[in-house]
Amino acid sequence: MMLPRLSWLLVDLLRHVTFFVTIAEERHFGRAADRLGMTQPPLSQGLRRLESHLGARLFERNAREVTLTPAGRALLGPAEAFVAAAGALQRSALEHGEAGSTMRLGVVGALRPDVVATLAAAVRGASGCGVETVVSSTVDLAERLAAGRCDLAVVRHPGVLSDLAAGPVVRLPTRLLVPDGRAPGGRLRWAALRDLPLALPPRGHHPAAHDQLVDAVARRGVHPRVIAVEDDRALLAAVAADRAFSIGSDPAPGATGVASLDPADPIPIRIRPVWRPGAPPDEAVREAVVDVLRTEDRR
Amino acid sequence: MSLAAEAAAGIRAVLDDAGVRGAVHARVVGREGPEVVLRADEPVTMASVFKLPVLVALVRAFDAGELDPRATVTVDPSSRTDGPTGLSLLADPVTMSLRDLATSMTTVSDNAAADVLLDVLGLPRVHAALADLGITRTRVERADATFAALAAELGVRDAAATAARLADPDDPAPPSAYDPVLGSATTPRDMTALLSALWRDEAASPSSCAFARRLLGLQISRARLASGFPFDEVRVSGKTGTLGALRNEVGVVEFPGEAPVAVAVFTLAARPERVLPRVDAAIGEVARLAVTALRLGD
Repeated sequence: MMLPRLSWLLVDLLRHVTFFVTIAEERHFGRAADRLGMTQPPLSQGLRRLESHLGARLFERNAREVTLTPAGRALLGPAEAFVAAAGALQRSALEHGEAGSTMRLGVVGALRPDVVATLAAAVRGASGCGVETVVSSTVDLAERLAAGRCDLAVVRHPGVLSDLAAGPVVRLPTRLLVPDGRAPGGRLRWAALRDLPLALPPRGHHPAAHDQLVDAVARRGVHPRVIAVEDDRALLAAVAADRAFSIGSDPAPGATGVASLDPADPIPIRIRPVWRPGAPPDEAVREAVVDVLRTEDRR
Repeated sequence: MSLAAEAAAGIRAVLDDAGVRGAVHARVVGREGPEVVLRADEPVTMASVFKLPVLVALVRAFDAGELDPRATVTVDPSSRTDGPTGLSLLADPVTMSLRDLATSMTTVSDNAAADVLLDVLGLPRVHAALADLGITRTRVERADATFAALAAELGVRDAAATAARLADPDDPAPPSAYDPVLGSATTPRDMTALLSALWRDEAASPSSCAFARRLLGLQISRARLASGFPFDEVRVSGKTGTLGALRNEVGVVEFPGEAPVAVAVFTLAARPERVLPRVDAAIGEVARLAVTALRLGD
């Protein structure tokens, strides 16, 4: 069959033309390889294949620098247009291929697993589509939405949303997770936590929401060193081992060594649904998501 | 990558880290060449940065003999514009000269003084001055007109209710609250153009430009642009603007013996809190990255 062979050739050509354009921009093989996330030998090899395919040398290489040949200069414009057109083709293919059949839902790790399941079911019910769910950071989900790689996401608030549209803010119920030796009788004393680090997801996941949470702890009189933990298991282990305290939903109620406190003035974690204005999902789907989140609101 | 492009990438990272969306422009005064550009032509809400074009229009009116810098105005508490500084705070009527009103407007961002000066000048004169200087994307409104439009947009009655509404952590203000159409608006590039004209003695007569530059250098606020240059011999002159989650400053950074660099930084924070030292410091860091790239050249 011709078609697979043709598409393989096209993809290969696109790859090599991308090498050409990147080297032309960077004027340096090492930097171009870095940008493409590869090493230098396959980059040079790919460029040679392209040069033999086109029947023209594209670059003059000497020890110090890489410069375009006259042929390279002449071909750079069409090459850039080719790469841009391929990008546009891929984006519309993604949009057309997936918009109708699959809803791509993004959620942050602050949501409990059962809430994520309820959300996915609600989106499926309201849209009639399959639902593909990705768990990631607020920063990454905002990027995915902006790039059209996600249809609807529940992210931490506050966060920089740029041109995304956003629904109401919901305050998630949180627990204060402290080493049980520091909360005798389940009673919270902030003073007992003053020398203990605070374990939270990495700040880079949601800088504004992270800073707001740490400031809320500081307002209560404790100025902890913050350590980053990647998941709930690491977090619980740190608390049980008297290495940290944390704030969030309790991922494993009753875990040994962990006192899960419910203070009178809990420190909230805020979330909100976001989407691209004017893009799917329709309002019924957004409403279904808001309804699920509202049942979690503890205001 | 050029130094200016590298700086723009660094600036993007600083803004992301501070949890703000930003628009930035920087240029060397009086020299064609590389500029630092990040959304530099995007319309932005000025907040109190509008006092810079008012200052420029005022000194031009002094130059033209249309207004007397020593002429006095009495500012009465019953009719003046609200604000957190300057005449806006005083209990009794005050009589001041136009140039002293300019000093209060510029150094402590006095809203009452700014609106009095705008009344004396008239908005058409401010816009004519901008047009004459080739600054075409800047529109100035009275401070109290901006406050009224914002309160109406938010559905609240007064300035206190507006501030409370903008600071609500659980119910963020709609993005329209910060829409440039509600009040004074500009672009980062327009503001560096205006500052360049002021620093090149082209915005008004040399003595008037010197007067305006001196006031901008006396600005009390040092937390933003100036925080990026903790070097005593470096002069940072500027005008800030603050409204809810908006934190702006436009200014000029002068290293001894070097060409001045004009910088405009406009930010909108994700967090609604009134005190965000990290954002103020990020504005200084952004300015430092921009100015450094332009100083070192390409």
